[in-house]
Amino acid sequence: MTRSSVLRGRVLALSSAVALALALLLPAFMSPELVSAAEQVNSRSVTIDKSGTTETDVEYDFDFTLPSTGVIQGIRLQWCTTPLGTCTAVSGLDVSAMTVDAQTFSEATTFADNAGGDENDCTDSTNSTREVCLERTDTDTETAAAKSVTLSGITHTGVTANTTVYVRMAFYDNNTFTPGAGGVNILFDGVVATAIVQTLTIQARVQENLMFCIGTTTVNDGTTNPGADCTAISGTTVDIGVVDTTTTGAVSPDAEGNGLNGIAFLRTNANGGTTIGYRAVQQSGTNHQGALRVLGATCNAGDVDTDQCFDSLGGVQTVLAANTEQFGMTAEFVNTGSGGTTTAVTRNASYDGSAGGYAWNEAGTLANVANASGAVDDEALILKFAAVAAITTPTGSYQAQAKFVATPTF
Amino acid sequence: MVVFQRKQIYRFFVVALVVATMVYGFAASVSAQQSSSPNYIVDEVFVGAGGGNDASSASYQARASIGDLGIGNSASTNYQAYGGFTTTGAPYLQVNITSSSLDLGTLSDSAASTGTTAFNVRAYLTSGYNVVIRANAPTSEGGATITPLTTPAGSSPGTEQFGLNLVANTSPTTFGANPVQIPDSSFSFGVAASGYNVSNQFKYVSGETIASSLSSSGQTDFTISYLINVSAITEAGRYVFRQNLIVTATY
Repeated sequence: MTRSSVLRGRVLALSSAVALALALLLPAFMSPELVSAAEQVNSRSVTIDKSGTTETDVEYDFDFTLPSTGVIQGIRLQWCTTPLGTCTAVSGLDVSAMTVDAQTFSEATTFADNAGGDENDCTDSTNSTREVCLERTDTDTETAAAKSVTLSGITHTGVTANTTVYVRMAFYDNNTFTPGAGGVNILFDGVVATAIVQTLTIQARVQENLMFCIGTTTVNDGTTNPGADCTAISGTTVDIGVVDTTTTGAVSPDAEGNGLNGIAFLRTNANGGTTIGYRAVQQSGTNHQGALRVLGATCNAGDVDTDQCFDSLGGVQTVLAANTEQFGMTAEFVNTGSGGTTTAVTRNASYDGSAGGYAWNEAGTLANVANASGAVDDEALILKFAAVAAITTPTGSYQAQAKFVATPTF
Repeated sequence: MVVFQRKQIYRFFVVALVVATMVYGFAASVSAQQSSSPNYIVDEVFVGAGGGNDASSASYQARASIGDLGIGNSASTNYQAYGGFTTTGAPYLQVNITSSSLDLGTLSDSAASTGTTAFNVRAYLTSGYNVVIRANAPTSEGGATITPLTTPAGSSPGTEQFGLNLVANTSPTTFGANPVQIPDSSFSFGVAASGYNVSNQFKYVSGETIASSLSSSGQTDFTISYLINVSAITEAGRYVFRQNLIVTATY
């Protein structure tokens, strides 16, 4: 073997080695698909404040933790229907009017909306309804810690119910959203998800409620339980016994009569209030038909003490006077003894007995006795009646009648 | 002294370069090689014991596998993994409100009114999710609200109450259901949250979590059970509760 052939063989071997080495190395240089080295942010989530399909000014609160330190100058957010692959906008969702409400980063320089239009990876002008790019100028390193960004002003306008929204996050080390070769400038990324769902409506109805009744009772104060409700209220007559010229001879509850007071019981959910009044029944006879009178009697049109009609005390509370012909009524107590929870009823000044007096409107027009400011949970008016005779008041069996009315406002 | 002709050296390196390129091209084409016929192609072939594949038609798609040696969720306190050929690499969240509305009719101060609605949640590759309910308590046109139960309590007819839970109840009537794991509790892990997980006890605080999972989970079907009681003086009107469910998954 000649020396030249030996050398030729060595060259051939060397060339072959080089070729094989190139074969191993070429894929690294020629492969069209280099994988991004971005690290995934941890503990990432997005919380929205309103999940309905038609909402305005929805707030998106992004929370995430950087896995390592890095300079972050650009954040790209894309709202998509899928977490990976081509980003398709969520129909009805629009981020174009978003504002940055809050942000938490270790560097003080805040991120602001990219105002310069599309820029390298950032296409928030072309895709304004589904993409947001935030940028800042800060070349200092962010810590590997929890961060947050809160955006508001996002609208859901007729988004299909039960739609999942994936927001893809990418964090750039530059504020021009230049990805670099193989995405080397994208330091971190991650996808979060939320759901836009239909608003569920539960409805129910509360009916208007009024329980009002008139009867008689032995209760003579504001605290004794007169009965749980109107099923416990009965009676139609308050007998005040024999009327004499004293102020105490005929005052209910009168033992010489039937020892009873009148009672007006009220329960209602009328939040607008309730009025309680009465109309004196116009009885048979002439003049003073609504007074305490003998049925069918002819009475003097004026106030005289010799006819068979007691002089009514009128619409103003008046104290009884001996030997003076008088008749009247008062709502001496507002009784809450049934265990209700309200104290809503207040008496008209003419019928509250504050001066120890009485009143009686014989005209037959509606006379207000009390009012409730709102719903009433079992309150009752204890009604007392009194009469004083004059020396000349004729004998007879006298009666007065009244119809009570409760008017609730719902 | 041996003198190599330049042509010879040149030829050697050209051949070497061509060989190198062919080696790379052949390797690339082998890695991209699919099994195919004129009308069909098989994608992502795995040669071995078992494999997985996607099957699809115009309206449906399925991903099937055979021969998985290990499937399902494996988890420790701080880590979890999904094994099998049909696992996805993409984060996933699905929420379905399966009820559209609920009418509880006319309320009475002598008996409670109850009803149910339903929703389900599925979340993959998460470290858990929360379901938050947000809405004002039932409110009438006049602005009156039915008093919500801010702490769990049982039904008390004649007392204004509004509350809910996510479990099966026997009082004041038999209604509601416990969370149902689809297909079973080895794949799905959603639970009713504290305060809303005790039978016959109801609560409502807007903004609270009513359901959650502490890990990635398949589908859990939840039933919300509602309770309303009114008193004799509850303001008349039509009361409406517009419920928003907000699901937050952490990846």
